[in-house]
Amino acid sequence: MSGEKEDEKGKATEPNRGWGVREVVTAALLSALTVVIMFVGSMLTMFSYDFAMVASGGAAVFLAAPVYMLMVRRVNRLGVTTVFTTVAALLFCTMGNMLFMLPFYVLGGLLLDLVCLRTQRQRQNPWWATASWTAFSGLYLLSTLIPYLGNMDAYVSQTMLERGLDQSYADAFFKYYGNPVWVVAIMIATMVVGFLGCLVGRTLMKRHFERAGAL
Amino acid sequence: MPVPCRVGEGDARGAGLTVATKATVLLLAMLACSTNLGPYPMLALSLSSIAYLLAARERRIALGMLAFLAVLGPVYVAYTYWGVAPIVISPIHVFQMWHLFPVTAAACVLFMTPPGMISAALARARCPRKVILGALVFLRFFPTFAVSWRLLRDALRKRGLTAWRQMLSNPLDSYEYVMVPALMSLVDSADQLSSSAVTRAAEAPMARSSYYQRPAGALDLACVTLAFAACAGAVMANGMMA
Repeated sequence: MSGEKEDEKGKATEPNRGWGVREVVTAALLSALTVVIMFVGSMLTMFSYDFAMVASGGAAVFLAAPVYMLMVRRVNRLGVTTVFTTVAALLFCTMGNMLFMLPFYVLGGLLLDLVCLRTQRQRQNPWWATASWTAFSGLYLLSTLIPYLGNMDAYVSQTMLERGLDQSYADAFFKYYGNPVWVVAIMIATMVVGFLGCLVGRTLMKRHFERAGAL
Repeated sequence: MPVPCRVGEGDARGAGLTVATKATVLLLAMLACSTNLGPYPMLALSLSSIAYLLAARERRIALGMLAFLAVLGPVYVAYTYWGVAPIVISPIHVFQMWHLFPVTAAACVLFMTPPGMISAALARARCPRKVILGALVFLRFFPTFAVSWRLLRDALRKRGLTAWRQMLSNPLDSYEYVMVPALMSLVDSADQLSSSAVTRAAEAPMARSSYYQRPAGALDLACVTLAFAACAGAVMANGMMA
C-alpha cells in the first residue's frame, strides 16, 4: 500500500515527458474546435457593423476560453499554445486572412508558452492558463489590424470596396480602428471578456470535467 | 514487409487525384481568392471549382455547391450592388462565403481523401510522424464533430432546450448545455483515436510503409494546369476589368 503511494508520488513529481500520440490527438482536435467556436462567436456579432467592430473579437474569445482551458490542462505539454495558434493561423489563412500573419501567430503562441505555460506546475494552475488566454485575446484583436498597418486608407479602398463591401462598412471600420483610443479600448474590453470566459471555463472544469475524471 | 500496390480507379471518393494535386489546387485557390477579385472573375473561378469537384468524382458535393452558388450569387449581388438592406444574414457573412467559395470547394476535395492516402503522401514528403498524425486527426475533426453535433442537437431538441426563448433567457445555461457534452464527446473521440493510433503502431520507431502508392497521372497534370490557368486567368481578367 505504502509502495503504491510512493509510486503515485513519483509519478506526480516525474519530469515532463515529450509529446505522445494522446497529446498530439487531443491538441489537434481541441485546437480545431477552439477555432471553429471563435469563428462562430465572431459570426454571431455580425448582424450590425458597429457591433461587429466592437464585439466580434470578444465574442470569439469568450466562447472559446473553456476549450482552451481544457486543452492546456489535458495536454499538459510545453508548446500547446503554439500548436493551437499555428492551427488557428492555418485555418484563418484558408478563410481569407493573409499568409504573413502566420509568423505573428506562431511567435505569439511560442511566447505565451514560454512565459505562462513553461512548467508543468504552471500548466496545471488555472490562473496561468487564464493569463495566457487573456494575453492571447489582446494579441488576437491586434492581429486583425496587421494588414492595415502600412496605409489604412489605401488598404480599405483596395480591399474592402473593390471586393464589394459598401461604404458604411468602411465608415464603421474607420470610426473604430482609425482612432487609437477606440483600438486600445476594444483591446482591453476583449481581454476582459477573454478573462471572464476563462472564469466560466474554470467553473465548468470544476463542475463537470474534474468530477468526470476527464482531467 | 507489405508490397505497395496501386489504388484502383474506383476505390474511394476523390481517389482519382493524388494528395499533392489536391493540395496544389487548394493553394492556388487560396492565392487567387486572397487577391481582390471582382464579381465576374470570382464567378468564373467558382464555376471552375465545381468542375474540379466533378473531376475529383465528388458529384454529390458538386451538386450541393452548385445549388448553394445559385442562392449565394444573387444574394451577394443584391446586397453589394443593388443596395438591398440585409434582413437575416449579414453582408459580411455573404461577402465571406462568396469570396471563399473556390477555397471551400478545393478544401472539400482534400478533406474527403481517405486518411491512408494522406498519411502515405505526407510520409513520402518526409513529414515528421507527429505532424502526420496531427494532420490526419485535424482532417477527421470535421466529420467526427458533425456526427456528435447532430446527436447533441437532437438531444437538446427533445428536451426543449433549443427554443429561442429558452436560449435567450438563459444564455449561460444554454452555453453550458452545448459545450459540456460537445467537449466530453470530443475528449472521448481523442482517447479512442489515440488508442487506435497506438494499436496501429503509431509510436513504433521503425519506418512506416504504406499500401498506397499513387504516381501522378495525366488527370493530375491536367487538373493542376487547368487550376493554374483558371486562377491566373481570373486574376488577369480582374486586373483588366478594374
